[in-house]
Amino acid sequence: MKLSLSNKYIVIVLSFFLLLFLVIFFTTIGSVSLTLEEVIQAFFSDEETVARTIVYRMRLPRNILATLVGANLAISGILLQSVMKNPLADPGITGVSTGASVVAIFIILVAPHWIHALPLFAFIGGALACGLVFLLAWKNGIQPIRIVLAGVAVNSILGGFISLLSILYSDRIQSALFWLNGSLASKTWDDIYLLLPYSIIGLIASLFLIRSANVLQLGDESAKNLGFNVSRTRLLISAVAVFLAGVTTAIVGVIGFIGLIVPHVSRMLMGSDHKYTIPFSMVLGGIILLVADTLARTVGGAIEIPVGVITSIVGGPFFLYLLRKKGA
Amino acid sequence: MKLKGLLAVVLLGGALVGCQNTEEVPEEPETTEVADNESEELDDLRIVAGSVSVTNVLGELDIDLVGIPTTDSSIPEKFEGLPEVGISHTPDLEIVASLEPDLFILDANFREANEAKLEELGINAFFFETGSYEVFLESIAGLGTEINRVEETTALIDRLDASAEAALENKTDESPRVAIIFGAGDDFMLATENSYVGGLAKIMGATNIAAELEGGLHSPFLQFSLEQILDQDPDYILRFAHGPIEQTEIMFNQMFDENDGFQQLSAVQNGRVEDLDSTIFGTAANLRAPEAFEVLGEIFYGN
Repeated sequence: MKLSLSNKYIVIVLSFFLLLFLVIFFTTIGSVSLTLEEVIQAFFSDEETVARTIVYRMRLPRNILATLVGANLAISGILLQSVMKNPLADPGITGVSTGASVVAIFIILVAPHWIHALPLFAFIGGALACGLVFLLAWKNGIQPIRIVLAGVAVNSILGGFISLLSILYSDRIQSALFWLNGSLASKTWDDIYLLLPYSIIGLIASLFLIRSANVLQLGDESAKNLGFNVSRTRLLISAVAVFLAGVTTAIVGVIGFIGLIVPHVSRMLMGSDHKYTIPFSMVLGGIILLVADTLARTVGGAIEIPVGVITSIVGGPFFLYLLRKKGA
Repeated sequence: MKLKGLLAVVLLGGALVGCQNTEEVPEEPETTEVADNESEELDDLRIVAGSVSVTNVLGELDIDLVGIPTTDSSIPEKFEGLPEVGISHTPDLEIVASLEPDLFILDANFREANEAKLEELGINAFFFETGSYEVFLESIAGLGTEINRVEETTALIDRLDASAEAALENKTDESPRVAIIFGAGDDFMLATENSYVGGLAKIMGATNIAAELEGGLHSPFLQFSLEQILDQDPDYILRFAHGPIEQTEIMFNQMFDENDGFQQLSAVQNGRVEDLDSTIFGTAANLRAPEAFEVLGEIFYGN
């Protein structure tokens, strides 16, 4: 299934154009059926029609946000997998999602008047939890296995707090559930403007980490012999990964599986060189989350399904199928 | 490396396009049309209801709608067949927008999740509260002002209040001490005065034992242990099933019959354990409050 060198470039470029096409094409799909003509008009005319409201203020921002979120989470996943040298690593392992969740749920359930600052506080929560994990894992440098173990411990402690809050405020849990399962419903252009600059910073930074990620793959000894400070490199890559996962989770909630599945698919097609897998994961993450979110808002008719639910239910079996097919 | 540069350029380009959009958006005048509706004829108001409770209130006030919530609960017949806008937790704003409403009324519980988006879409929204009987009445009054039907809503509120007073007719000086156990499946909690049912019981002059256990949490429902109930030994136990009602009732009976602790409660010994009809009581305030008052009056004061 692996592609030859020049084909890899072609696939990456073609996927990028596919992504652009889908962002526009999926604005024609939704619970209200619009004719193609109406959609085109919505894009090119300034007239405030219902079609324009639906296309320009609802579907388009959602599609763009889905693309950003998918790219961020996929890159976060692939960077962390390279740091941990563990194919099961995903952004959640660093505690960033659980940390953000505890804070977000506290705000939603206990202090709803702070809701407007939720992204900021959720980011701080994620950063603190993740900082704690890395602090616990630090002992004369960073060992991947200790990050994983510290992550499991911190996640389970924070998970306890989430359960406690949900039991104490069980009457209001409904609104928190949507956050816990990640949803792009009712996101606005403002959310995109909020996420976009951070995404760009994080995604571009990831491109400059390609060499480091490749070197880490060689193993600690070889990396050291090549003159790399292994611990510092790990920290740097983790920081970018956590930053991307943190800002994303803070705005849309917890969306699982993208950070795990996209890097795998990406490696299956592109091999292990991050020169290809990182750009491809970025595009593929966007495509997969965009498709998942379009399913989320259409399959249930008038009933919105959190996109995190779709990525798990549909993405899980698909991932298993790929693994079996690969014979790994 | 080439690819890296290329992608960086594309991403930056995307960012610049994004920024241009930022500047464009606020310039568009789109919310002004909402304000103009005040002067319009009343019957021209296009109203979409997003929760069952408010749909029933609007039915009672004989107001026309253009959209209703998706639900299994019963709603007034005259609304049947209208476009459905999704369940109250997650209204499908696309459908709501396509109905071009002058007013979209949704449950206040989902205000935070939807307010910003509705504002961006220029949809005028009213958030209807159903957390307690009191806020329910306030919401009805507020809605009356919003849709210019103050007379009708005031009459409705008076009718509801009168039913509470009628049920209190035989009230004695002694306040009955009650425990309201709320069950969903095999999960049981105590309903406090902050819950809708607890609030109704309070209006009916009952003292809720949950107040002693609450500890300033202000939660409508509390986890409890049998020990706490034994310690408080309430005069009445009201059981209220929600969710899978039949199973919950079976679980209720099992809990009370098989646990010796419950048998020692004076409410059990005196036969003062009552099951509340969940279609009348509900977890959110609704128009069947008069029936609820009647039932509670009968239990507490033998009306």
